[in-house]
Parts: sequence; C-alpha cells; structure tokens
Amino acid sequence: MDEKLTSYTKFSGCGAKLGPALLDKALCGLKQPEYANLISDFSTSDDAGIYKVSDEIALVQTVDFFPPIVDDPYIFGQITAANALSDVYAMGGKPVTALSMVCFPKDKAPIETLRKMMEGGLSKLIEAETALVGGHSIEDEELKFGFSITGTVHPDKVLYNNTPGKNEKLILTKPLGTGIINTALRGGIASKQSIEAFIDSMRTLNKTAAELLSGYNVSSCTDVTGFGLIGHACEMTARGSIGMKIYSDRLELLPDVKEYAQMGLIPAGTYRNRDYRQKFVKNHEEINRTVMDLLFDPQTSGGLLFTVDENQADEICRKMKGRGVAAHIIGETTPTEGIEIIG
Amino acid sequence: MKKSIDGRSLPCPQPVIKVKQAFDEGGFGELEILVDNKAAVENITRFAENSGHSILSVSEKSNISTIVIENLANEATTLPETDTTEIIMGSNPGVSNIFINSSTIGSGEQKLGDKLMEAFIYSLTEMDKKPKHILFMNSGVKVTVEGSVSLENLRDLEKSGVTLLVCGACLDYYGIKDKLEVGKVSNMYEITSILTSDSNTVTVG
Repeated sequence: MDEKLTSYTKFSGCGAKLGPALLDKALCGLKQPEYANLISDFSTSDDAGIYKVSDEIALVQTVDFFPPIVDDPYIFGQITAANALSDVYAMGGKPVTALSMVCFPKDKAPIETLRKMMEGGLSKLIEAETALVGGHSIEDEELKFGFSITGTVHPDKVLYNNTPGKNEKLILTKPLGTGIINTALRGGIASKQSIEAFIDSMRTLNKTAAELLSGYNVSSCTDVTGFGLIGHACEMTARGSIGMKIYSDRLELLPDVKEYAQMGLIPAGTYRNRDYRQKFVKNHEEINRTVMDLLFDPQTSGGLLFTVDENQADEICRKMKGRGVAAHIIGETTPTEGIEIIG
Repeated sequence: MKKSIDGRSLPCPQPVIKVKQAFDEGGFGELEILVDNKAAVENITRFAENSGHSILSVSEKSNISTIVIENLANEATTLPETDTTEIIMGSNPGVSNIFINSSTIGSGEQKLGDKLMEAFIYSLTEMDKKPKHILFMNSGVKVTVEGSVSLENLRDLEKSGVTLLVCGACLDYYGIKDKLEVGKVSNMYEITSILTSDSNTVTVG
C-alpha cells in the first residue's frame, strides 16, 4: 500500500495520551452536584461513566480516539472501534450504540481514507452488535479517529475497577507490548510476525472475554490501555485495603517485544507512566529494567484485567483459552497495600 | 575516531535507531549523540547497555543532553550485560549463538550428514549450557519444517529458553514457509545483528 496513515500525525509512535500526572492536575478537585442516579463519574478513574435510568438499566458511556498507529486505514478503524468498545466490556456492560468522531486532514489525505476507516470501524461495531447512530467530523492537520460508545448494564452488576477482594487471582486476557512494537514499527525494524500479532491483538474485541466473566465471582475489572499494566493495577488497588502481587515471569508478550525493549525501542509514555507510578511498586528498585519497561508499556486496545475468586481462576482461564482468548493468571491480591513484582 | 549524531528534534524513536545504525556500521571508537528529550536519553542508554557498549558520559545543558558511548564492538571479551530474567549461564557463558547454514553436517554422504545434524541437535538438548540463539539459514531452515526429525528436540530447546530464528527468505526460496513448525521467522538484518553483536558464534553445516 502506498498510503501511510501514520504520516498524518506527529505522534510517531510515542503516544498521544496526556500523561497521568498532567491529567490528575487538570481533574483533581473538579466537582459537580451529587446526582441521585449517577453511579460512577470521572472522579474514580473508572473505564466509563455509569448512569442509572431505571432499577434494571444503567447507561455505560465512554469515548476514545487517537492518531493512527498503523498505516492501513481499514485496520486503524477496526482498532479504534475495538479500543472504544472495550471500556464498556470492562464495566460489565453490553455496548448498544456508537457515535464516530473524526479529525481529518482533507488537503493531505484522500477522502477514500476516511471511507476505509469508517468501514473498518463499522466491521467491529457489527461484530459487537452495536449500532452506529451518528458522528461528528472536523478538519484538522492531524488525523484522529475514534468512537463514543454507549452500553447498558444492570445497576447491580457493574464491574468497577477498584473493588478487588481478598484471596483472588489477577487475570489478563491479551499479551502485552503494543507500545514497544509500535515504536519498533516507527523505527522501521519491526518484524513481520510482530506486526501481524500486534494488529491481530489490537483489533480483537474484548467481547468474548467479557461474556465469559458473567458466570464467575469477578470482583473488579478494567482494561489495560495507556497507563500500562502497572498503571491500571494501581487504579485497581487505589482504595488501599487490598494490594497485588504480579508474577512478571508469567506475562505473555507479543513476539519480539523483549528484543525491541532491550534495543531501547521504548515509547516516551512508558517513562511517563513509570515516573508517576513506580512509587506504588514496593520493590521497584530491585526489578530488572526491561521488566519495568514491559510493565509500564502503554497499550492500545489491551486486554481485560480482572480479579476473580482464586478457586475459579484456572477454570475461567481454561474456558477463555477454549474460546480463543489469551487469558493468563498474572498475579494475586494481597491483604497488604501496594504492588509487588515477583519473578 | 569520534563520530557525532545530532538527534535533536528527531521524533521518537529515530534517535535510538540512528545510534543502532551507527553501531551496525561501526568504524569509530566513540559516539557522541545530542538529543532534546529524556525519553531519547533513556532509549539510547538501554540500547548501549544491552548491546555491550559502555556509556562514558551523559550531560545535560539547557534541555539538550549529550551522551558519549564507547564502541566496544571489536573487543571479543566484552559480553553484553545479560538480563536477570535471561537464562543464567553460570560463570562460563558458553556459546551464545549457533549458526546452522545447511541441513546436514559436513559435505560427505548426505545420509551421514542428516544423521549427524539430528544427533547434534539432540545433544544440544542435553547440554547444561544452552546457546541463546540458534540461527537457521540456507538449507539449514529445512531442520525446522514439517517432516524434520529434529522438531521435538528443537521444541525442547525453545522451551528451555533458546531463541530459534529461521531465515524467512530461505524458507521462501525453498517454498516451505507454510511448513515451518518451530522457531520464529527472521530476516538477514536481525540475524546479522545477532551474529555481530553477541559474544561468540559456532557455525555448523
């Protein structure tokens, strides 16, 4: 393909998301009235907002958009949709409607590019049985694309990200390393197999994983995205009463990720994530640097990260693997505060 | 001889890529790199340390960092710093890489050559000190495809932490890419990087 979608952005592989420290500064102390039906808002850094409309139904609402991370517009569309839908799945919800949003450099890119991005996004919305109801587009020098998704959930069955319990295992449903492969891709040295695995992982919906959660005692759930595995684990343990051990040797990585990490192909977002959150890792000074780089690697359209009764962990992993989900037990909850890296 | 790279205003990850390219080309004793962001400093530091080169200095002045790296590529005694997560090889590091460039060992009778290759790969599984990489090129790639008698032994090696890299162009040439059973498809660039950066290699074939 001649067209290179990534040439329409200056964020060449090092992440466009505002760093967690900066975001905290902007949001800290921001207040709104206490609405009776508002279940979850921005103050708890959960994956989506929850608003109760009846005793049986609550809305799950989220938005996510970003500059291209692959060159093929159809695949980019698929990834943005999978990524946006994921927040609804992570809250235990079922996505129902979507709005697209696009910032498009109309003088640089042919309009067919937008068409292909829409087709890619729509293919994933259809897979998720989610209706595209509209959207908004503006002209911009920098291409960006994404979706706002609305889902529904029973108000008592919301999966929060910060309510893990005691004696539970931590499970992750996709391999790590999309930030590093993206950086290697920008550097022109990513292998074909790593690019293929990276694309497949990012455009895979978390739908199947989410559907399988409902039969088990899952106490908390989130999806791993820009803040990296540890960043999201920190949000899960933010209440302080429960901590986590993460087994670094059991993490599944995308192909060649470790080699690229050792070559220094680390996105800047990793360092921002680490600088902000390494203080929550009790033994961070003893951890090998490559391992830390992997733990803080910002993910695009990452897997679900959830805690489940330790007696059900093996079974749920087995079930997920049987349905093609790369689920692994990667840690456990602890009765003491903070995160500890083992292995 | 000293070489300089101006990595200022280059988008990530271009500074570290330029440094890697400079070391791949070689021909200098010291490399000085100017960069204007912290991520580039961290990336270049990681590259240098993991590829066995030594950082002589890192200095910062009005947001411009200068990194000086000594090129130790020609000193055969220099080993790259191994990760603690890598296989621990003991005090004697053993052989890092095995470069297999034929499906048989030696150039006598083919039957004997096949047997020797099979026995060699089996013997590797029995060694305490395993190599880090086994690189397959030319007809050596046939050892990794469907029908090879060595597949189980190669899988064992992979399980014990050995990385198997198979030349993709060679698989293509022999028309057996879809028959690959074990190892990762690699390219000349990656294989050359390993052969030239890691400590020692034994060629078999």
